Amino acid sequence: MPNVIEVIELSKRYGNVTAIESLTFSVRAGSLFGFLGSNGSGKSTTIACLSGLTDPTSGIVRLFGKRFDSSSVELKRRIGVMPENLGLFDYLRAEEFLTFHGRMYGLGAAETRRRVDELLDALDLAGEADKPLGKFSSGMRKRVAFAAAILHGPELLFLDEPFESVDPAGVALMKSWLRRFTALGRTVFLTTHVLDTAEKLCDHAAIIHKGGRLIWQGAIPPSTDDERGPADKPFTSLEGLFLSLTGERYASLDWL
Amino acid sequence: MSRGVALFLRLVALRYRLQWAHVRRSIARTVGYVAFQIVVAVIALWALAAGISAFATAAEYDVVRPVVRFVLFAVFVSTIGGSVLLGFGMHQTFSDRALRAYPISALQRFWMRHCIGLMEPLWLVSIAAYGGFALAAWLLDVVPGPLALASAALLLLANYLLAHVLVVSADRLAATPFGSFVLLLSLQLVILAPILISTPEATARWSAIWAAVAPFTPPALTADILTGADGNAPPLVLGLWCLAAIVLLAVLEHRAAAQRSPRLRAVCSTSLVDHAAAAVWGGSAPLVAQAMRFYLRNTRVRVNMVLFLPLLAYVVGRFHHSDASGSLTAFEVAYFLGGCLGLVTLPLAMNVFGFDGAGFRRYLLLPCSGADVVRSFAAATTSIGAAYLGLAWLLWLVAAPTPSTPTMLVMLLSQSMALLLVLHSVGIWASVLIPYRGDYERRWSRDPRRGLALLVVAVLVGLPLIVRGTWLDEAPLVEYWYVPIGALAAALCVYSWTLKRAPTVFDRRRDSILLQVEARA
Repeated sequence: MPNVIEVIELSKRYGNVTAIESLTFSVRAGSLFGFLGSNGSGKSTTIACLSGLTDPTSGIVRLFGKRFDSSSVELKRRIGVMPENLGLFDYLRAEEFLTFHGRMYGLGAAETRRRVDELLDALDLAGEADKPLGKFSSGMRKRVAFAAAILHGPELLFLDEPFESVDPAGVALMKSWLRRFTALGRTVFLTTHVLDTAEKLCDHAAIIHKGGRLIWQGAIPPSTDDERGPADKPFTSLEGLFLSLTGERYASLDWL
Repeated sequence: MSRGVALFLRLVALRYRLQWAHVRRSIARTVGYVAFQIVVAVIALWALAAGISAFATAAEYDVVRPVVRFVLFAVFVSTIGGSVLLGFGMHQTFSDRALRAYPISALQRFWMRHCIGLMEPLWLVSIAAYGGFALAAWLLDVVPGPLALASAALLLLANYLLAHVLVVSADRLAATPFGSFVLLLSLQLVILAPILISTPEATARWSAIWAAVAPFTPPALTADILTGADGNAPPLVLGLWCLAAIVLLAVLEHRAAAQRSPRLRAVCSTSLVDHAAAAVWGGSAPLVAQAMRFYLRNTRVRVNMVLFLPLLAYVVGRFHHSDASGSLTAFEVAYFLGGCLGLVTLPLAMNVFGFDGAGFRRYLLLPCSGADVVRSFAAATTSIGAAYLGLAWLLWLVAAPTPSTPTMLVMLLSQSMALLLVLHSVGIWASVLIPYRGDYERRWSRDPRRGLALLVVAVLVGLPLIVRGTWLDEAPLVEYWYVPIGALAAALCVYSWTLKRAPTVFDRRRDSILLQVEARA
């Protein structure tokens, strides 16, 4: 399988703050790739650079083998993004927002209409037709953003914390769609800090640590003899690997 | 020191620490912040000195009471105007909701918020101005020092509280279904009042009413106290003003703002907007339709659109009934219409991405260029203005003052179109260069930057009127037919240049705009 995403020495700085530093990794087509890391480690910034929301300070991003930046309009048509804060227009209804989205990605009016109706129905949003998005609960907003990301049938999907605040039924539905999506040879790149979810859903993963440094990349489940893993600290799960690599520990507070 | 006072002082310190944290990341911001503080201090000192010298001079000429009344009233009204209409001095570092996280009572939260609010530069200048008069009254032995200072403090309190009562009332009213309409109508009535009551009889009637009411206003009462009026009535009535304002403000703040849910279907048909955009803009239609919807769904724009119609009819009707020299005033009419047409959408267009909020991120992710985004919003807002311009022009055609020669009509159209384009060019640059997170649906007047933007528009509209009054006063207007046409040509150049250059700046500043509109800067 060819690489769909290639990231070479990617760095992003905001003033004096380094969000990600010299990040290099690749993602193969058809994989469900989990991008893991603790809070503030640079997951969302990486997705922002990979999806064209922002341009990196230095480094190269290649999608589908072509150089990608924020002005790559044609490549943007081939990807779907569910960004960190969802990027919804509060004054629109869900159906209007999705229709706008479909048209912007080049879908015809009739096809957009059909897909929007199906998505709203499947995501249990059809009953909220007259409400503006600003009045939706956070879980419902997440569903709408997810629907927008997949509406045009992208070849590559970027999802930033997709399951947060979505109810169990919604999460199960989204997971089943993602599995079917990758079974068709398409690629999913998702960030999460829920390691359990990543372990059950993803086939490959990468872990970044504070300052946006990549500290592990490999297949899931991780192997104890993985040469990039810590040989002296055997682990049995992704959580064990994560904690041993990041040095996170359970602090005990004597006053608690 | 009580726990409440200690907490208050900590919050005051935190207020300045937060301001410093915001500016210290950039040298330009730091310099700007320090310069601003110095300017505020200088203005405050000047206001203090001006208060003392005005009182002393007026006392020398034995006109102390009318002068003090006039100056205090002017400061009082301009402070309320500056805070309610332009948003200066209305910033609250800590909201009631934020303070609820701490173990303090509702009463403590109330006075803490407002004591911290009094440290806004606008109020510091008012403190200095009122303090100057009080000090002068004390130093010149007109009244005892404690009484002078207490009356100045009460006037400041009344001023601050009334401004807040008006702002909170406006916020509450704006959250009701027809609130924005009522607010803007009231504002228009206040602005047009001098024209509406311009007949001698009406002026005399209103003057008599004002003469009866004015002595009981806070500035007049304070002036009476400071100039040594006998009796206990002025301090008592001034105290009652403050008490009433405190109660009113507490009640208003206690009442939760209504949650308004727009009835979207009734506002505008999806297909109508889409069809209109598709008919004119072809490939960019979805983006233009989206921008159209952004404007047409906003309460403020909708209210402006509705309220502009009677205003338009009034202006045309008024000049229709004027004499033949009305043609000379056509310049002002066209300029006035152009300004109004711009203002239908301009309150949003000056900060379009900031009012779009979280949605702005989506534009950066969509498969479209920055130029598409900027031009689509410009196309939407200018189209709405141009549609109204056409309406105004037709109305003028039907009910215009004589003579309406073809030259005059072309001049009118050119001139108002020129102003419309210039205003929207300013709007585009302001959106790209000085965006901020805005919320026009809920808040009416809390952002001083919007106040500054409106001042810029006022200068832009006012300056040519001064030029016209100075240079063109006596000449027949039609002799200057080339001026509006030249102005339109120049405005087209400015607008085209803006549409060409602003997208480049937009692309270069995309990170910065994103941080600003998401309030993460």
